[in-house]
Amino acid sequence: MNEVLLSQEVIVYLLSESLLFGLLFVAFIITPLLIKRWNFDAFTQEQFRLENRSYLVMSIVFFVMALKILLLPYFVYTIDQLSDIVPGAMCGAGIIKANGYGNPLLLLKIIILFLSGFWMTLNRLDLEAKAYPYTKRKLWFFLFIFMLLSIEFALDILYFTHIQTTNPVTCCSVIFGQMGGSNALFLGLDTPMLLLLFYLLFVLLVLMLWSKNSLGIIVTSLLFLFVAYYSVVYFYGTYIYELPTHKCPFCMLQQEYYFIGYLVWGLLLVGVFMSLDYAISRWLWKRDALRLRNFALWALSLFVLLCSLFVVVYYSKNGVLL
Amino acid sequence: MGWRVSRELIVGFVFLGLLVCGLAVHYLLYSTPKEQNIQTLSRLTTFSSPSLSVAFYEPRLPSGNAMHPSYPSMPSLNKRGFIYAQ
Amino acid sequence: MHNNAFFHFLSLLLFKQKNKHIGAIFISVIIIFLLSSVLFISSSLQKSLQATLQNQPDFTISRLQAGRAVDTPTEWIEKIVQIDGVSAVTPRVYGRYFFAPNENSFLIVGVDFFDEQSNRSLQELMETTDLKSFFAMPSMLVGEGVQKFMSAHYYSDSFSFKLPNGSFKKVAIAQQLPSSTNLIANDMIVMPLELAKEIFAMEEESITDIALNVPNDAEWDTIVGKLHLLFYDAQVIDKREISKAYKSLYNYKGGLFLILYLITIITFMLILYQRYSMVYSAEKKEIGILRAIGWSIQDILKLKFYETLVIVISSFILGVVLAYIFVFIFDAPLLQEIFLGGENLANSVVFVPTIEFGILGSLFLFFALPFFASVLIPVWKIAVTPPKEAML
Repeated sequence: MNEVLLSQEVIVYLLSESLLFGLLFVAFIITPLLIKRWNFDAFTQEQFRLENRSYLVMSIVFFVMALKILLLPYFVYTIDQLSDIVPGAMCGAGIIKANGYGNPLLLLKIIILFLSGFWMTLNRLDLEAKAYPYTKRKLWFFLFIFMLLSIEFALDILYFTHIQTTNPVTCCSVIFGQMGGSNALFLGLDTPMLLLLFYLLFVLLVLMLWSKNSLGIIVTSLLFLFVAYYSVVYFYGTYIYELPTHKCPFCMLQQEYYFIGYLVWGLLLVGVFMSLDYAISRWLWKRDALRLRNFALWALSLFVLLCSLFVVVYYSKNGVLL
Repeated sequence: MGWRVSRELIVGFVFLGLLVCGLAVHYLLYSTPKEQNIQTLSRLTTFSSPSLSVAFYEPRLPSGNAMHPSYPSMPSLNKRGFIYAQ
Repeated sequence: MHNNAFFHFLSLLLFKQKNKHIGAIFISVIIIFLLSSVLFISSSLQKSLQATLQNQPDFTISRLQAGRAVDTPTEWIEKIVQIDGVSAVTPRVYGRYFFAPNENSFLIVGVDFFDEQSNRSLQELMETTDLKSFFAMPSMLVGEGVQKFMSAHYYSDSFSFKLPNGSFKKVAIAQQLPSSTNLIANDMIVMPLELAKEIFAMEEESITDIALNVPNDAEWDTIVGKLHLLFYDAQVIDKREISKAYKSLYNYKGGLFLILYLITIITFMLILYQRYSMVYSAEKKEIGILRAIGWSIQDILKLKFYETLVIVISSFILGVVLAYIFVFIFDAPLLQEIFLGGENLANSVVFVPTIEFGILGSLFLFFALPFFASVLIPVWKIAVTPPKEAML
């Protein structure tokens, strides 16, 4: 009997994923016909029926996407809980590395969330316009996301059925710590350079958002996501844990650190997503969603402020930097 | 302009809110004192084996009454070993 | 659509048609109540055990002979003390005393009461502050289960232990341990160390096992290695192993229950699907009117979504609160039997209130997601009702 599959969180998670996938499958089955026959200008019974059906697809996708947003933190929480069962693991980092499916799965989940966010924006625009101008594009886009979702579902099952509770996994300090003095950062950067890059990119991103340069926003926000990930893992994380050798993106999600990781990573992902969404809807759909941009600015600034605050608080308490 | 919601709904939500508040108050007041004695005892004995007729810390109890006389290896249902065991 | 009027309409509608929803709410509350009671019990037990583990020594070491634990020689203590980084090395004496062969047994734990800290703990547990009478004659503290068992066998204020050499040792029952400690103390007897040794007829130079602390947990693995190098016939039990055992213990319990509960949830989904298909098809005329006065499909979907949300949230809160009252105020009568084995001595424990957001989140997902998923298609079916239905 596989102990992992008996864990409450895994059961709830897999049940949720299966139900959502079942619903998506219903939507997937009716989509090809919709794409093939959709003709808004026709006044036929069939077009009327198709319009109704497009609402079914829309409701299902909307519902699934909304829940996927909830399921991502839940997935991370599940992994974190598993670290109590799997030997050697102190936090989610070891569990996600327990087999080859973990890391692609997590990455895919984030990509799908971003894509489905764009889908939701497109959907809203489509409904606002009277003539459903984007329906076909929206449906094609859904088919593409569905393909990714099927891969994700398969990975989900493969991942959870292949975690061994007998083989010890590596602890986060082994995965993220510097091994033998080699530099874990990309391009041979050192910490001051990384921080400089972090703040520079943030300022650049804010400027881009102000100047509404779509392409610039896309490029800088992706770069910022990348650099911010490294900065948090290798610099700000050590201040969250108040331990210079503790470098891990997962431990901060635990209760000992007041679940602060959910806020840190959540703000970063939301901020980057909103900037991307803003840029894309400006670039492709010619909409200037100022509210989206302001949200993005708020989330990103909060993220940077929160990270910097950990350093400041640590310095004011102890008088030294790590 | 305020929100206009029917009175029953407000009453319902206030009721639910009160329930949740009551629960929170009970939780905050009673979760620590209830735990104290058990903590003191475990500090005294440095022992934490749960007394559920299953021994974790100590060597296992020799299984006494089998459930079925002709099938003695079947453990008694009243012993939680069949689920609690490793 | 004006939000304000929309919510007003929604709330009026909900109470106007409350009979339609009461059935669904009732089933939901029962389902959540049962499930969350079980999960509350298991998380509470788990938390209590983990909390007692906090006070435990990091390692216990005992001697193995032919694969069985045998008495550990006291000279091991001096050797262990010399390892760097080890602190609080204490001898422990405990064991099972069988009332009659292969029948009920008590767990006798010997405690060194002259140790300052255990003396303080003892004072906290004792009702009287007068410890003199406790030490004046051989006396013991007994758990509730033991107390009940003894008084059923007419030992109300003292008990005669039968020693291995055939003689009897009479020990006074000083006090019953508080019933809030039943989880670990139901079958426990606490007595002075020397007395316990006498009852088990242990040799002067031996103890059951040795407990030790290693304050720096980075050194834990090294210390284990050193202990094994020091004694070839030693069994070292790590606190982490016990913690993991407790964890997976209750994971099994909750997990098995959840797997069985999947069937209930799927049945529940079918019922909801049927029920709402029926309820909504009776609403066709109403929705047709709404559509005729200019509501879009989107608006109807929104209306039904909020309606479902209100139902889901209120039944979730009701179910969880009921379960909380049942488990943590009434100590889960009936249901707690599932979690307690009573073969040795019947037990009834007091549950320490525990609320874990993870468990509440799991519960909500486990309930709300199937609920929404099963009403989604009925909702869509009704939402696309053409306005002409109003005329029929």
